[in-house]
Amino acid sequence: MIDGHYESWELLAFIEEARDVVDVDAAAIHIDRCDICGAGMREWRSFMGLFFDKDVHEYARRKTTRLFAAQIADAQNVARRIVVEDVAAEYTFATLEDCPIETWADYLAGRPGLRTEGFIRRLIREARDEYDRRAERALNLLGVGVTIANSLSDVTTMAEQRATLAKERANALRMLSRYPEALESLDEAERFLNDVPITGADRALVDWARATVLFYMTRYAEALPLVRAAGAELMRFGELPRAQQARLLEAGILYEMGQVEAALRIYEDLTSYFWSLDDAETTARLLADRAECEMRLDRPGIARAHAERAMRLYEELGKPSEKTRVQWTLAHMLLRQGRADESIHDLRAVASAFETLGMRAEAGGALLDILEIHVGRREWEDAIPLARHLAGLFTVLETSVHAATAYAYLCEAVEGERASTELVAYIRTYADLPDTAEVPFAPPPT
Amino acid sequence: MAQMYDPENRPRSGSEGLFAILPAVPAPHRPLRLRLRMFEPTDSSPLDVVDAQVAAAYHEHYRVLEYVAVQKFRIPDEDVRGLIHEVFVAFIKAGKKVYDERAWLVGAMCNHCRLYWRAHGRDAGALPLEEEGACEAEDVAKRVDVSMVLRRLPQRCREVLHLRFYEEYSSEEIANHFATTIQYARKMVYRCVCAARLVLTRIAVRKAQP
Repeated sequence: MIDGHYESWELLAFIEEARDVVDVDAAAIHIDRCDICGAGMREWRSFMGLFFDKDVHEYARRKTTRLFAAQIADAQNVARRIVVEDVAAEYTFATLEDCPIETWADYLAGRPGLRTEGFIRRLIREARDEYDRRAERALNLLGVGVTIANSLSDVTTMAEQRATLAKERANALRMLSRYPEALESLDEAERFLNDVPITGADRALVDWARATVLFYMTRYAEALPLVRAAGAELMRFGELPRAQQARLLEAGILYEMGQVEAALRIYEDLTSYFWSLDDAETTARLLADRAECEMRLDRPGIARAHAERAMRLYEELGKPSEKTRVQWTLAHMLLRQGRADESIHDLRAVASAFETLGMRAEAGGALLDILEIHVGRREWEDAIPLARHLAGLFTVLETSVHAATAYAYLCEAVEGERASTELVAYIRTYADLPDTAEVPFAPPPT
Repeated sequence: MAQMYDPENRPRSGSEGLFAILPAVPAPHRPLRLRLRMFEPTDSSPLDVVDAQVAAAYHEHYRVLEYVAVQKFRIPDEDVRGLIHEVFVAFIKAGKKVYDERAWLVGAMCNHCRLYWRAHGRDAGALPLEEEGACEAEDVAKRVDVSMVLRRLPQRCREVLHLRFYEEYSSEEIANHFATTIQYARKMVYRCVCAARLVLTRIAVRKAQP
């Protein structure tokens, strides 16, 4: 021992339990009490553990392969190609932007040099920007991407691109409420991923996208374990930001499952995280979500404070649609507090704002809230024109035949002064449901 | 309903890794020829920097990928280099999607080795179920480092460590092998382990230098 601490060779002897070299019992007591010797021993144990791995010795003995200059040059060429392709793709995109998307595939068919991975990346970037407002356009853009991917000569590259495009298509389909198709698209993404070098984190992204679709389908019990597993896998790969975003979905699911306190805890936890990253947009969403949770927990004062902070942030970010969504939340809050007239006033402002932004389905949703209030108060002179407007709106929107049928049914009931708030709530579910054969509109049981 | 978030559609933070240095794509309002001029290979062009970064990353991760292919998945020697290259090219293409370079590469290598054996008709159940992730990748890297250390040790030291840890000889068996006393055999083991650690520290210091 030196200065009251064991030397390395003594610690090694202790690990090996060499009783003739070191008093193992005395050493055990000392190491347990001494931080320095304890830390030293842990380091040695961990280091020696590596020597017990037979692979380590085998790899040390084998003749290793050599990294060839040609391999490095090839990898460098790939990296260079990405840079150059991205620039060229930007130019191609600017050229095509003013033409209808339907003509793009023909244009590109005659120009093989433009059908590149770079252009697919550009299309995906554009599609992502369009999900919120023009999901149909996003879907068309991704369709062009699929055409280009199919024309790529390298099979692995084709599979990589098809996998990415399928995942993105699922997002666009989800935005269009075409959930079963979105799930099919994710299945397709997984099939393509089977043929390319990827990691568990890449698969986790598909699972996360699937959990998001399931969430919108209200299949919460299936979505929750999926997103939790995806988040854990992302954490394993050190992808903390994405793992935290997956937790946002987890909180959303918990909220919908009625576990509002649990959801709120996650939201609170995440607010400081995203704020520390200067991610104002996510912070704003978190504040809006916290406002909803607080509202559900009957704490209107705190809810309003969070909502107002969220709206300020959205305004600074130039996101009027998101700001309007928070306003919508506030209008619901007024309704919960029994301030129906103020709520109607705010809901009209929300519907008008959505209409200005071209978000007609959302505008319809806000109007349906107003209709519900009028129906509840049996104010038929206000309810009838509104119900007619909504029926017309959902016919024009063509998002779902079943939704349009449901609204027509509601209109008839309102006109006949037979509608109830329960019927409005029943009809509302059809606005969000996908248009599938499994859920045709059926009048509510009487 | 609580507001929802699109996976992957958020601004990215943290290290951009290898691709942090890739030039931002310029706005499309200037003629293509002008914009491409930015990337002509001059002494300090961004593409030269890309080249240097790619080469450095390839060298840095090559042995780790080789270890996974050879030791974990027993890929035949003649196919190892090709598989590593395919994974590395996929890594470059994955670009900004990659957060932790080593974790991604090790995870992708495991997956690619499984694909290799599946294509060669081996039952998926017979393949190793390697855990993937940042910790596991770090673990593989440590093992590669120790293997490299073993190569640099004197022949006698390598033999001592091989007998003790690979063959799992007792101190008595090592003493018999080297025709010496048990006490001295133990001392040999300790000395060699200490020497290995010293070499490892030196490698780590050298790696940490810019």
